[in-house]
Amino acid sequence: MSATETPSIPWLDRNHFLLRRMHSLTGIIPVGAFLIEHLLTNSGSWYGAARYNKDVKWIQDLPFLFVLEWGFIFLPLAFHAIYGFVIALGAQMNATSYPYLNGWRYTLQRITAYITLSFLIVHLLKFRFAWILGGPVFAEAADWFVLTRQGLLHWHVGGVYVPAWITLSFYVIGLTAAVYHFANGIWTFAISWGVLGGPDSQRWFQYVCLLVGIVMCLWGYISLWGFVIHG
Amino acid sequence: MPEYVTVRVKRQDGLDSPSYWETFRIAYQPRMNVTTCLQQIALNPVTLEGRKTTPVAYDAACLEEVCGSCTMNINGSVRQACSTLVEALRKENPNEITLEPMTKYPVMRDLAVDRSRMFRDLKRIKAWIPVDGYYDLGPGPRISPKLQHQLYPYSRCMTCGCCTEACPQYTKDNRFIGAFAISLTVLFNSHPTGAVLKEDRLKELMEPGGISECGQAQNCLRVCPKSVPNVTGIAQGYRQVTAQWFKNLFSR
Ligand code: FES
Repeated sequence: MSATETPSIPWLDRNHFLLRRMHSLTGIIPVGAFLIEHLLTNSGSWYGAARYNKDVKWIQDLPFLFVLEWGFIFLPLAFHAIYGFVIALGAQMNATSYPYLNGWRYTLQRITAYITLSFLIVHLLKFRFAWILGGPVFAEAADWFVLTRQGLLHWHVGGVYVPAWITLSFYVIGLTAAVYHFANGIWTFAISWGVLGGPDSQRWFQYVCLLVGIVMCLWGYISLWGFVIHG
Repeated sequence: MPEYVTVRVKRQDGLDSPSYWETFRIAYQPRMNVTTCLQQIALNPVTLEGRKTTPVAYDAACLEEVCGSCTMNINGSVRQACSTLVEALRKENPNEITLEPMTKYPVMRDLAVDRSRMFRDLKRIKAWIPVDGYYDLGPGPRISPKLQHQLYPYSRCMTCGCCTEACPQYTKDNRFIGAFAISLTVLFNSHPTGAVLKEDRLKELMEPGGISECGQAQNCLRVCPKSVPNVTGIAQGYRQVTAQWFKNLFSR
């Protein structure tokens, strides 16, 4: 046998299991963990501008923020999204022929993935890379609370004014989709890492995940509402 | 009691030929099942419009839901023709019965499909207990009644393919081995003699097309005619694979 006869296995196939593990892991840590942190910071809005700005300042002052942001948020998120997209493309959804609860949950996990990804792209271009979609208000560096409130309630993009109810509904949908994807993701994570060994443990753990999802949704709505009530 | 049964069949003349529909009307007999309908069609292959046609090709062997060969899509959901009673189908749709071949395997002709992919995957995961030898190996190890009780449900698998047909992750163009193969991995890994091949099997489960292809839609549990505990099988498979993965990471 010469070396040329050895079939070359594509890189993606050679590292298949590792990549699947990393896809599963990045969804929880750091992406899911960041979602919780993000809600934590944003819910400061409930207490008004002073509190919110203090917390944002604390984050802005973190050492090596650039590395933290790219290494622990953007890159893992991009990997999770791109690899997840590749996985999702290979499936044949069939919840209409087999309308069981878990089949729907599976389908929703994919639908919310697409919603969350679209939402996140707009959200990032609006607030993090605000010079792209944020509108003129972001040109002047000012009070973070005021900026966020402007972005949610008086968003101008490319000379078009977006009514507050549209922006807010967009945020409610995006947030709910992200939370569903995360909460259901905890459940599938626990199965694929061998923690839940059978249907009984899966049953009670699904209620834990449901509770996590409800709490996180409400938490997020409160944060949004904080920006509405504090003028 | 109805006089007739109307059966609409999705037909296909050969491997790559286009499919077409034909409708038949046959006399109703009490307690008839879908295989009986197909036998009646074969006796007199004339369509509803009165056109003479060829008998519908289908697979069948045991006629008692233990071989799995007659698996097809009946009224859009996958099950065995021999154990599906027309009377029960009338509750789903009193007017007609639709028969379609399975969609995840190449259609050989009409309702007969080629499921050799399942057999290849069984070989891939070494779904057997290695007891071949040219001398007497003596009695096998004892298996506790508790373990027997746990494993018996897995052994009911008849490789019919219902779990793969209903699985959104199992498609014609991917390599997923499907729920049945994962459940059988757990069955043979849990057998004291079968466990000799445990690492080989888990290695296969970690390859492309292995267990990580599962998306937890869990339709495999709902559609299994033999009530194989596929959800437990996959959960246990994941547990074994995770343990093996950590072992591989840290023990060298
Ligand atoms: S003929 Fe064997 S299962 Fe139907």
